[in-house]
Amino acid sequence: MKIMAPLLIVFIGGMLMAFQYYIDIPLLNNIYKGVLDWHMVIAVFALVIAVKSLIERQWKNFRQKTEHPVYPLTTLISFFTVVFLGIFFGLKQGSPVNFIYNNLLVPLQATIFSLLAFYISSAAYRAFRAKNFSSTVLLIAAMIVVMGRIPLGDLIATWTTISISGKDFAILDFPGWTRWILTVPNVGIKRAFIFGITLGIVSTSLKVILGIERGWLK
Amino acid sequence: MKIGKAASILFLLLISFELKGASSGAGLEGMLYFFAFLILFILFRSPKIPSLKTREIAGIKALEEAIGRSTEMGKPILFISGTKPVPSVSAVAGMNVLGRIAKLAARYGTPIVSPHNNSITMMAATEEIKEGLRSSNNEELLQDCSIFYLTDSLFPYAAGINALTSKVRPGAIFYMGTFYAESLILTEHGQNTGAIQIAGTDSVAQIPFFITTCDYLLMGEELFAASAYIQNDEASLRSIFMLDLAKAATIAYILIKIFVVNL
Repeated sequence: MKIMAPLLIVFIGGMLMAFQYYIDIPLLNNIYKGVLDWHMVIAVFALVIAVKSLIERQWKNFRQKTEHPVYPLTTLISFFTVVFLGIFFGLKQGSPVNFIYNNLLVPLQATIFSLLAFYISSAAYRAFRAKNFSSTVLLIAAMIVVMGRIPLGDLIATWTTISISGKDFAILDFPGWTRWILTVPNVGIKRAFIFGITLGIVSTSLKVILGIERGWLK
Repeated sequence: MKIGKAASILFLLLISFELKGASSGAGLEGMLYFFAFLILFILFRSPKIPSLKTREIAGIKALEEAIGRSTEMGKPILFISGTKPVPSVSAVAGMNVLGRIAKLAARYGTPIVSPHNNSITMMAATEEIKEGLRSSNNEELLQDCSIFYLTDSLFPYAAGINALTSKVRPGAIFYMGTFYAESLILTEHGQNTGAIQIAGTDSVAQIPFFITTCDYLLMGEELFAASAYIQNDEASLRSIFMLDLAKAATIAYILIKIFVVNL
């Protein structure tokens, strides 16, 4: 019973949710809305666990006098300051929390995001080496796409355009080749991946619904 | 077989109801597809079908090598769950891989460090690690493991993990689940620390980044297949075969439809 009860709940719940996706029955639609509300309630409780874990971890780091005790201390002070300001001054436009969000959090997040450009450069440098046939194909394709995406690629296409029986034809048509690479082989391979992933998701979901996959029971 | 017949009758009854959004894929075709999958799944659970052999997944085989190397270096291992929390299928598959990692880590006595961006995922990971350590009779290792919540936000999460990677200098890093723009920030930094990196993701847009920076990658459906492969029971292994069968059937369906439409 200890195992059967949760398995039965998951089976009935899973099947109901699957049916409501395909079939228009008001009762099932209402159950679905109720489940979404419950999901939000559980998420709020989960937040309490998250806060507990965060405070415990940072306090432990601070007390253990690690190499940089200032980091956990900064986290704790920031956390309690924002909570205090949020409770007493609200979250409206112009409130202190709103100010902190717009002037501190957003620029900091943008800073981390901007690092991506440098990481892409270093990863590309490592990846684009003609070590074997496959990597040479990758390198050539990448160079064509790079040329097709920069203004120089457009200029080269214009310079090398010739007219054959009244029709313009670019000898080095980097933008055109780029379009072909991105819309034909690239999209084809992407779709193959999406196809496999979707089937994998359906298969794993069914394993959970039918009780074959029981990892969550631990 | 009785369950299969019951499911077939149920399916026939259901198609008599009004269907939602026929043009959005949620209509008759979508439903037929889902229930065909369901019926096939139930039928393939039959013990009459002989055992199936699956090819080895390189990424899963390399888990032991990565953990062994970490142990030799006296460094912990880092497990990073994806951005989507546990109810998502990719996170569930990632947790199964974590269970396997925990078993191997317990055998070698290597501690696991695992930051999370969702508390439910964190709790699931804690249970998965506990179960793994228990099954390898090394529950004491849990005291050396560090499983904790970092933040919900994407880029602060990436920054926190990078700081942790620099501090802990893990011997092996595992990325399992759905990732977004933070994937390259994490893996490129991990690569710079010299750790063995194994990733598994269903994020199509991030696959090139993982290929470039990781030593092994469970690409797309391989993550779900790996989850079944790790469990190593008949029903799970049959589900991999079922997946391939469904894929072949869908390809045939697409080809027939192309032929019919263009006729």
